[in-house]
Amino acid sequence: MSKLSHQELITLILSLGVMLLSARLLGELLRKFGIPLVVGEILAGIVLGPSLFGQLFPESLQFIFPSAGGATLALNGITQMSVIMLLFVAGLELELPLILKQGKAAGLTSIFSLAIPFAIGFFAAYYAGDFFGLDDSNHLLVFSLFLGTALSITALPVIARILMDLKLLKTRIGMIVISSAMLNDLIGWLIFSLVLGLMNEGNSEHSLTYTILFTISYAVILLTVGKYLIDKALPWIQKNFSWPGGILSIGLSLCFLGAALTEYIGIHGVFGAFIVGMAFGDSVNLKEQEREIIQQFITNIFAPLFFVSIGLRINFVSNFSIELVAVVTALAMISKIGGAWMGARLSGLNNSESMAIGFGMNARGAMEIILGLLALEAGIINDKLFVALVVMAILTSVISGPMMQVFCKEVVKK
Amino acid sequence: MQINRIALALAFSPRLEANLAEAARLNTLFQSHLYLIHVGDYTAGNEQELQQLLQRFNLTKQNCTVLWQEGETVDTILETCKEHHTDLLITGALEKEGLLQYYMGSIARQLSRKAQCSVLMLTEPSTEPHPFRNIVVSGGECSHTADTIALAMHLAKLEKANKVDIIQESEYHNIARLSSENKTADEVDQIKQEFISEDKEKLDEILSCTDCGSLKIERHHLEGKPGFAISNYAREHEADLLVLSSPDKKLNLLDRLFTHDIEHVLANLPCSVLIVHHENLN
Repeated sequence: MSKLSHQELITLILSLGVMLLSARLLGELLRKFGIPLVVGEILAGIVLGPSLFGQLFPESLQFIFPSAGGATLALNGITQMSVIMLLFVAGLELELPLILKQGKAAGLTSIFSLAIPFAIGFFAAYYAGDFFGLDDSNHLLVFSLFLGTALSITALPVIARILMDLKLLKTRIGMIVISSAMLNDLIGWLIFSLVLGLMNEGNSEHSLTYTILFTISYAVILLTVGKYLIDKALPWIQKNFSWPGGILSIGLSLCFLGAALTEYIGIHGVFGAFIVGMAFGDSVNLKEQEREIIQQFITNIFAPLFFVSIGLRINFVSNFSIELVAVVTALAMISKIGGAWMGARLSGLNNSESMAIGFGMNARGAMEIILGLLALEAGIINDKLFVALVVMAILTSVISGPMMQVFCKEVVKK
Repeated sequence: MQINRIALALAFSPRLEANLAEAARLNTLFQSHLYLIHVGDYTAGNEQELQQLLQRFNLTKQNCTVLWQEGETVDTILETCKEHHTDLLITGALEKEGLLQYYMGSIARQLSRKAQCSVLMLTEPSTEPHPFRNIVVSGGECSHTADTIALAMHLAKLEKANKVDIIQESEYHNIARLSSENKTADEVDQIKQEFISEDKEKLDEILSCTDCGSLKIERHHLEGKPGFAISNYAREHEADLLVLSSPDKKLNLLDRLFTHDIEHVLANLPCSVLIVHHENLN
């Protein structure tokens, strides 16, 4: 096995330390102003990367974060692993029973808040591909499907935080928003996995039909038989393995095995990890402390590395296009708020409640950024569109809270 | 809160005598009228066996009606209950069923999911029935929690129960964890405590409007998956009756695949279970 040289090892360790420290410091600073931690982590990457630090001290940037070599490769491997684990946590947080409990209201809100942005994103990209940076017209369908998916995704943790801050989490509106966001995530990642499958069709040894069939079969089997087996195995693991190490390593093993299997099938590994997370998290035998340890371990160590790495790869200044940012943000907001509003109205909620739900569902957060980066890596989108998606994700996450508050005040007044 | 009409889903099985004994006891307790519903072929042998049992349990034409029906078992029982405006349907039930049977739904489980009246599932019926002395009641958020608690208290008073445990379940740790990235541990804990206090206040309000007599009531808040946590509590505390609210929406196969709330209880009954339906309570 080839290994890193002494200097490369130092560079890798140094870069990890700098990334974690800057992410935490900036994240905590923004947290004081009520801005999500993830925004601070992304900003840390932008500050450290070619957008700012690289402009001022290009040699220092090359020293800490070299653009090539063993350390860069290793760091890239770590961030790839981080995104897989992040999706495992996202799956862990998703509760299908909650969606079932909310029934029609969550179903309609979710479907409309997904279908309308998807349709608008798809047709916008299909008829104005050049504006959005379509490089290869052969990929028009994949590109359009991606933009549709990107506009339809919703960020569950951001929404949960907003609802909690507004003391709305236990209300009907809160539960509808949370369960609709969960359903959006599930369907969104399912579609995105198929989009990536479509993109890889030429390169993969598997046909698209095969990929679709396997994607659906994988999800169904994992969420039924897999969930049953995990449920039965957990008490045995808790009894016979050391705690909490046993659960942590078994959980992450399953996450990586699921990711490896889906990568082999031709779907991105993140989907495999996401579904394993759902099956694992739905077990009644998974103790709260165990869930907490897994989540804390991943979101406080690996998530910052991933989000900082985004800013290190891309120059946000040179790739910032005001027109693109404005159009992407406007399309994302109008379609999402409108779609969720329509779904909520159809399920019997009044105008103010529906508007509050619309703004709640509008927060995109980290999920949008992960989706965008995977598309960038797969060659579906270019740097400019990615930057526009990141800015849109940050803007929608920041304005959701205050806007929900406005409409919820109206709900209370009525 | 009164139970005026009780129905028993009757099957000529080894548990017939015990189920009938339990139904007769509750019929006397509530001073109600008992409908014995049998779906299947009428035979003179069955009739004779039944008459002997009716006599033994002092069930006469004044307090009991036997209904011989034909058709699909579950639908016919439910239709008959509806026709006779029964408040409570009693059925025998196994504590646990095979995986396939659970997903397909046994007769008892199907009745509990589809009934338009309250359902009592007896896991260990006895030919010499005992009162329910150790009762666990769900005080969880539901559109008719107050009805459920009221019926449970009414029954507990009639049974002279030793203790009634009212359980509130929540998954606030999940909710708090979801948004914990922007909060300190103390802030998250405070939010959880606020939620729990709100729940307690709601229960206080319900109990203040409920006649609990001199019953010994204990209130507990459990963190865990609703349905699963209360089921475990009832099993660990050797309760002989668990009282729950019927779900606000109809349950289907998906609810069994992604088990939640009452389905956790139905998957493995910890003791006899009373599911309170709100629509036709008096």
